[in-house]
Amino acid sequence: MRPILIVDDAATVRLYHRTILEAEGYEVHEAVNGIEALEKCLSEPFELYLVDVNMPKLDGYGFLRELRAQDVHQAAAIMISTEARMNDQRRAYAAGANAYLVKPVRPPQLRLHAHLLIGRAH
Amino acid sequence: MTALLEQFLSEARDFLQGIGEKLLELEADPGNAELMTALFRMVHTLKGNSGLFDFPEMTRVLHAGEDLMDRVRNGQVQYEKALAGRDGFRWHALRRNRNQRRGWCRPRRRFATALGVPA
Repeated sequence: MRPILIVDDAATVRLYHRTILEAEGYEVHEAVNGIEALEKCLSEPFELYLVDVNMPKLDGYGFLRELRAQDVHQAAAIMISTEARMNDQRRAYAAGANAYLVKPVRPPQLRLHAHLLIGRAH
Repeated sequence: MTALLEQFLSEARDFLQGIGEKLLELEADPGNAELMTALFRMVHTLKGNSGLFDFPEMTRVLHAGEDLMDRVRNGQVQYEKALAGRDGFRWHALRRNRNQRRGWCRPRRRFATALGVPA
C-alpha cells in the first residue's frame, strides 16, 4: 500500500480527496492541522502529503517547513489552496512543496499529481 | 444522497450555526480580532466546501461575506451593527437555501462523473 497523508481542517474536503485517492488504490490517512500531521509523520512513513494552506494551530506553510527541517526521508508534498496568486505559490515552494493545486481540485488533476509524485523524494 | 453530500450538509449546518453565533458575539465586541478571525475561517472553509458542489448562489454569498470580513480585518471597514444586520440576513438566507437544497442538490456534474456518483 502507498500511504498518503491528507492535511486539512475541513472534513468535507478530506472526504472528497480521500474518495478520489482510495479509488486509485492508495492508503489514505488524515490530519486536521499541521500539529497533528507532524505527530503522525513521526510514527508513519508517508509517500505523499496533500496539504491545505489555511488551518488552525499550524498552517500548511508551517507544517512543510517543520517537516523539511527534519533529517529523515522526505516524501513529496502537494500544497492545496483557494488562492492562485504567484506569491502564494512561491511561498509554498519555498516552504517545501513539490506542487501547488487550487481548490476545487478536479479528480483527474489529483490523480495525475499523485501518480507522478508518489514515492518521489522531495 | 452520497456520503460526500451528507458530510457537506452536516458540516455546513455546524458552520452556519457557528457563523450566526460569532456574528452575535461580534455585535457585543466589534473590535475583537480573534472573533473576526474565527468567523472569517468558518466562512472561508464553508465557501471552499460549497465549491465542490453545484451551489453557485451559496458560493457567491459566502465569497461576498468573506471579502467584507477581510476588509474589516484589514481595517478598511469598521465593523458595526448595520454590517452585522446585513450579514445576519445573508446567513439566514444561506441557511434557508441549504435546507431547501437538501432534497435535490447534487455534486458538480463533472466531479460526480469522476467520482462515480449520481450527477
